[in-house]
Amino acid sequence: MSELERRYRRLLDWYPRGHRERNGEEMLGVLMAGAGDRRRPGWRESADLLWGAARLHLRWLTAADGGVDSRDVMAIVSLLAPMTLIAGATTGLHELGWWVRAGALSDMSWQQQFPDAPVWAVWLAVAVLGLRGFRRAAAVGAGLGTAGFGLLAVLAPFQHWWNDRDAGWVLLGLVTTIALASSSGPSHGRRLVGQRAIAMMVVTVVAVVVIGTVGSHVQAAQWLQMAVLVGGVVASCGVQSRVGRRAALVLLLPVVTTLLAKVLLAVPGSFAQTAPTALVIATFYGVPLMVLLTLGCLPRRSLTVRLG
Amino acid sequence: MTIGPLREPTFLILTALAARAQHGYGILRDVEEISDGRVTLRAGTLYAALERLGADGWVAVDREEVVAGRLRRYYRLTDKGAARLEAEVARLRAHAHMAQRRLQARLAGGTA
Repeated sequence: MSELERRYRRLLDWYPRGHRERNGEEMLGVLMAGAGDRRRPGWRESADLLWGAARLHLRWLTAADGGVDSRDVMAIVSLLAPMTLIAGATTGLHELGWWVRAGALSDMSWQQQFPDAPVWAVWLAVAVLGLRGFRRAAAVGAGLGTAGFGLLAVLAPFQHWWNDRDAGWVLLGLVTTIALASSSGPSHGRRLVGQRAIAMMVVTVVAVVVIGTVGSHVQAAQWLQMAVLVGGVVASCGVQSRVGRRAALVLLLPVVTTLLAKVLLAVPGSFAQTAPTALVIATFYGVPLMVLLTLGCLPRRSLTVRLG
Repeated sequence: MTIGPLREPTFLILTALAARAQHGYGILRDVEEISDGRVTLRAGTLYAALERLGADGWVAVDREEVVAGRLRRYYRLTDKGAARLEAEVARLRAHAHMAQRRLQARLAGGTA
């Protein structure tokens, strides 16, 4: 191998692996054919190759290369998101557990201690309906569950249902409703990720709920909860696949908004309290949605609602 | 739906493939010839464009062959790509025609 070819190969190493495997040798042939008696790549040529690599990485990242079908992403979301959403009931379940352990469940004020219980029950039903293949009923249930989140924001504003980490559950509920209504549904999602992913997701959600229930108010437990959720979701969706990675990102919306809240609340002046409402909404809803759209996780064209 | 104008490298690549399938190096040379030496495409730009044009369905791989131990891939214009190029040619022709008429009117006005 000549010095020139070695240098060209080094520049081509900057290209996305898929492109390199498909076009690397061909590009090398073109570069060598146009090199004449040069012994090293010119700076213009090097800059052009690096710029081309950057553009392809960007296309790859934003799924502009057509390599990601957002309908597949939505199908996986429609299957696994209702299960993921049940992890949101952890705080309420912790309260419930306390009253059960105290032997005073009959004295518990559901409205005070677990006001969101009906909403999580709806999501549990959505998960079961989705797994049983009743997509239309699951979509209606998901719509009700999402409306329930909205209702909680009005009826229980002290729980910050519209911002902070809970924004992630609301967003996930919304995206799940869209996924169930417009994608090819959980049955297609099951074909894409396999039966194992469902079992893995169930184990993950149970683990997250147990950690959150046992270690409520312990900072380390919150981080462990997030780590388990991230690991379980990524493993369920399939880290090797571009579609799977994007579906995982959608399912991890609650983690994204939790981290966002942690970052913003670390800033003196407490963002959520001092910022205008519109800015808070834009931050917790607009930013995550924009990121998902940019990365090709959500359909960019208008959605066709398929409830039939 | 309004279709935006093609960028010059894209227009030249599609033009290079309009009459026959060509391999990468052939496209580079042809673009230079079509543009009368004014545009010199480099490999990085060409392959980023081919990736995009392929994803849009305007260009497709025609055939592959191995020459002197190196892979040579030929690209061809698809029907969709040809329609897009034709639309661009019509757009440019209409603009050129209008520019020509305005220039003639200017000349007529100037001599009046």
